[in-house]
Amino acid sequence: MNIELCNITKRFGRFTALDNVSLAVPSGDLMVILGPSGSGKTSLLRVIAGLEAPDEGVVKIGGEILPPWSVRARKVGFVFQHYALFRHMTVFENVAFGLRVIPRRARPPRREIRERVLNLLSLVQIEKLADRYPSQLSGGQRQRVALARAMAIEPKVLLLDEPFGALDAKVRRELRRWLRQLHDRLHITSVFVTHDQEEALEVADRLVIMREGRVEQIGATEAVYNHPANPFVYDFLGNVNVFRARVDNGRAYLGNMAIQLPEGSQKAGTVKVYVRPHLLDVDKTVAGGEGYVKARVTYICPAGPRVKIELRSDEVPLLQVELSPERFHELRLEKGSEVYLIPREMKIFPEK
Amino acid sequence: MSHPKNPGSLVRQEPPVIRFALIAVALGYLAVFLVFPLVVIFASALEKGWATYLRALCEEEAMAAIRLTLLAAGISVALNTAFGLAAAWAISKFDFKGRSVLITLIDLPFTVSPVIAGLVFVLLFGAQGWLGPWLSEHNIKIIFAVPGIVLATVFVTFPFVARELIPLMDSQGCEEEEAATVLGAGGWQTFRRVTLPSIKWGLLYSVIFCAARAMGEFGAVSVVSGHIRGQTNTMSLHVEILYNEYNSTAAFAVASLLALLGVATLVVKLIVEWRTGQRREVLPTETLKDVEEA
Repeated sequence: MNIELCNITKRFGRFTALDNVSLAVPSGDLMVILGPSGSGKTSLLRVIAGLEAPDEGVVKIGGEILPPWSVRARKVGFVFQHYALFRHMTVFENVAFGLRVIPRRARPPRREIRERVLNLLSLVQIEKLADRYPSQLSGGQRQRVALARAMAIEPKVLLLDEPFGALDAKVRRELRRWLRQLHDRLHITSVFVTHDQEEALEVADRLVIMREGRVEQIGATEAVYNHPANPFVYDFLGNVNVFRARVDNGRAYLGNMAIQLPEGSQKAGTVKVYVRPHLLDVDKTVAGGEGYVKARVTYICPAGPRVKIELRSDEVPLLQVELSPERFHELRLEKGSEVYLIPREMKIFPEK
Repeated sequence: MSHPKNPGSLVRQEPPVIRFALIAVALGYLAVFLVFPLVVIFASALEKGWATYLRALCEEEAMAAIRLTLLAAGISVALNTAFGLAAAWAISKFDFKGRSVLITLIDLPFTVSPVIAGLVFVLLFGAQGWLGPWLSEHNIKIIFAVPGIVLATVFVTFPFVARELIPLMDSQGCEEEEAATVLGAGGWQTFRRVTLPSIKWGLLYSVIFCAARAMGEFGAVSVVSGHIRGQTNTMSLHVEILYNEYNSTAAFAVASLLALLGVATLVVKLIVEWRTGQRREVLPTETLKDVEEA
């Protein structure tokens, strides 16, 4: 079922957590809300769930306007960052909870509850842990239980609040892939909140970037990544080098490069040029006519699949470049080497 | 949760003499101030044999005192449990104005002398008190009657449940309750199935303490009671009266009953602690890994 938020504003005292936010999640999509802490992403999720009532605006699920404070009736699945499992109940009872609290007339019979819970446990691959208590589980297992519990009420939408935030990197990556597969199988409309851009890019169909209670950009993941609307989005989606370039008569000058700005851009002043570390080529010599920025190597981190190099140029004190190990050895770089940086791709934003 | 004692830690490297001295001081203190008086109470109570002991307890006035004590304690525990749950729930689950004032006020009976607590009720409800004329007009007796004793006991014991539950519920937060609500549970279902089970041992523990304190209360009750034998005498007041009449065997007999209640409280407390300790045990990581791989 699709979710629609119209002009949601939420304040906590004098702090505005959400400032006139509108967005739509198409049915069956997995939307990721990405933003730094304090950007309002969790508040947004809690408003969708009904755990917070917005000061202004409406929430629609499946086209139906939901009154505030109607948490129980909403039938949303909510997965909390710290699991929020019922500590005195076994895994089985945790998952069964949502079915056991249904009013007696509508409640499925015991046998059916049992069957449904066991099915869910096998869906999240923890059938063997049914009789354990939450304190006897690892973090990853707990989050699987939390997910099974949320799914038990056959929710219209699934909301996940930094579900893997408290797990270590390896388990995180594993669960993330597994969640994506699960979503591809069940196609339940999901909203996933995270501050981890890697995680967001990996699981999202659609991406929402938030900052200070406002939406910075919404779109298909690939589109947002390749066409960031503003410097904040570009910066937030990965490491980035920032150069300042002088503009003269429709051209930006950076190092010995003259970059033609698109039609209708500013005619004078300065612009900021953003280049991702893996989109900067490094060379010790340059062919004539090629644009470059001169820099000196200050630090080399050769471990890992990509060699990370830090450099310093006349204008920028810290630049980052990523190279393949092969290229790194070919260049025979060491601390203090003088090199030329040639950007393969860049984004230019006017300076505020 | 108990931490495994680290045999290499600096604290454990104290010379044996100091270690022995510290343990001796602790145990000696305990013996002099706790065990010895307890032994004296039971020894004096049984000085003239079981028959005298039982007769002292079965005497009509003693029985009336026991009944009144149980009544006052029962009402206090019921009221204070309801109040404690409500206060702890409000303080730990909501953020409201006056929250810190409420927390401070709950401590009041701990800091105010019980005698003053008793006097407050006399000033309020006594014949010369603020509400005295109105009460006597309507023929309601509070001071020098059972309601006064109950009031005084409630006042003195009301922090017990709230004080135990506030930090407990505060540390548990309200995520579990939120999860229950999202899953479709109503307010009562959430309380009964989620909140209550997770605080039940703490609640039991505090109820026991509250009961023990209520039964032993002397000061506040003494002020409002009027010491009418067979009517407004609680056990601790009865002990005093008997003792003042040089009837020390009977005094110690009733006292021993109070002491027994105290010891029983300790036993239940031990059981509760043992149960909660068991609950918190977590499996070692190796076992977890096995399961993860399985």
